[in-house]
Amino acid sequence: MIEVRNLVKRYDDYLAVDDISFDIEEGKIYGFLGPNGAGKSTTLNMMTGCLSSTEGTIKIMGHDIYEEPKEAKKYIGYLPELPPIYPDMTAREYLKFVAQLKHIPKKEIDGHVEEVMKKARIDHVADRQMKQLSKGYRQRCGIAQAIVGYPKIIILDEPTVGLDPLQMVEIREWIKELAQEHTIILSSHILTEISAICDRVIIINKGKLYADDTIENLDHMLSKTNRLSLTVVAREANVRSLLKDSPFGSSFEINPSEEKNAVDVSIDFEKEEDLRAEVFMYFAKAGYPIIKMNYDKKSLEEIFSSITQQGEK
Amino acid sequence: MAAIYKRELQSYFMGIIGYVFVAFLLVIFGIYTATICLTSKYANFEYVPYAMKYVFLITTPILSMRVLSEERKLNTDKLLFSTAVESYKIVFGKYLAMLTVMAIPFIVTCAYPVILSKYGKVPMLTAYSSIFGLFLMGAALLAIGMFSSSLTDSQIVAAAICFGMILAAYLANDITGLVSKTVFSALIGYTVIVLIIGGITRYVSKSWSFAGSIVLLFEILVVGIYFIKPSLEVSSFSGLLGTIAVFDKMDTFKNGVFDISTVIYYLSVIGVFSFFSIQSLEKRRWG
Repeated sequence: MIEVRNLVKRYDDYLAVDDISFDIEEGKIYGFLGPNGAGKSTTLNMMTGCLSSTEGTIKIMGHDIYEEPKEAKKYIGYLPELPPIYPDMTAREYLKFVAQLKHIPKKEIDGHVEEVMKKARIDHVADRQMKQLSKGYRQRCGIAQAIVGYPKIIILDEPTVGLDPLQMVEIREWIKELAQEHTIILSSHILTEISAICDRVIIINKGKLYADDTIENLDHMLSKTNRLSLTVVAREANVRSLLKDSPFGSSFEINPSEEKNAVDVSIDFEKEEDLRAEVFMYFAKAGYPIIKMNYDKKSLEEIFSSITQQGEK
Repeated sequence: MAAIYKRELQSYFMGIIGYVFVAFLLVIFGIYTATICLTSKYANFEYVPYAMKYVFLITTPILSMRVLSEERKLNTDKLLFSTAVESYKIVFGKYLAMLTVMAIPFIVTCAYPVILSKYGKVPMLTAYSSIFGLFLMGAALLAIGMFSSSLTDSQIVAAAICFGMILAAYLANDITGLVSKTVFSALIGYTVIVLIIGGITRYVSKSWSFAGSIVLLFEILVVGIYFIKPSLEVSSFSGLLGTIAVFDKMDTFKNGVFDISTVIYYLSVIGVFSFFSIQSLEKRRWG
């Protein structure tokens, strides 16, 4: 659907986007992940034709965004970082205006706008000026604008930034609903958001592409070191001497626990196998009861930071 | 373009700017009609537009300051670009909306000569051509204001740039009187203009060396003419100032001459600054 090849954006001597290539396929939710200032918005602005590229090509359904902008932009709905709303307009007037810009036939505009407002759940505030609406509703108006005309691809730049947790959940749910009919590209610097919604992640940092993979693969690729967390009723010194002679390797950490007379222990295994039973029996033999045991994989946070650090080396 | 025009026109009257602008011009039209035609008992309505042209120094920035800068500030330019609206449609849609707002007080004013003619003989054609001349002048100034507004995302800065530019145009003829007397002052005048061009080049190209070479090139030319043919320096400079004297061009209409060359002059100013505005929008995308 979208084909990005060797995309570069240079401002004077600052390289905002550095040779990025990727493909977007139909029917999936893509997450654009990266810290602030990584080049996410710049890339999305180029993909929507709001900004020129220094080098490289962007094709949308086979149409080059710069050479055939009219054809290419038909397939795209875009919500930039700040929702592009006119504060003195009402939501209804605004969406009608957007519908006109998107060349929706005059007869269909009223019906279409009503339908979009229902989907966006803004129909009950449709006749209030948007400057009187809460940030959550303004964001909804912004997304509603992107889905006017039901384009195949919807690009959302940081759609949940600045919202309260409840609004965030609502917007995420809505994005999932939208994904049933549209291909969605969403940028965020919040990992939990990406892992909760997206099928595929594109990680960008300092203008470079670091990874373009499914969440499972990324997870798998980097979770070779498995970590087991335990809470053991024992003294720190005892646990330390016990683990030193253990067959589980020497990579462990001991911290004071919230539990009475206990310590928190975390052991890193190099092999990717489940050793919970062995660990339990080992501690039981020594007479130290394990009262809590957790098998945690690396979080996306850790994956992200290790990917970006690897890249910097 | 129709959508942009409609939205823009609506936005003027959703806030207070549209009402303030229309009311202000109507009040000024009223005051001058009262003093010139009613109190001083002149039958010549054409003096009214002539006397109040300086008011456009204030009204032009009021109407035009937000026209393009606001889109940038609200991020709505991205909406327009991502829906494939061409820059020229944005510029002309918005420009026509401004003209429409400005036309309202002019249409009301068109009734005044008719009312006055009940009480005496009013030279109608001269009166209306004078109103038309003032409208054209206002339209040209609005194009300059629109260009100022395309340069920044701050309304205040846009208003200041606009005021500076049209003040220069307003004072141009007075400066001509001072400058044309000596060759040296023409040289200074040209140098100032060259430096301004250099500054704009630096702003647009972001390159000191490029802007510097432009300044050097023009300055050599100006100094060269100063030594080789001083008379050309003076005559061309006063000619140049005459060209930018947007306000004074409409005087021909007051004198009862419907001058086509003046009409073409104003249309050219509108064309040039609309073109600049389009380029300025494009530059933001391609910068």
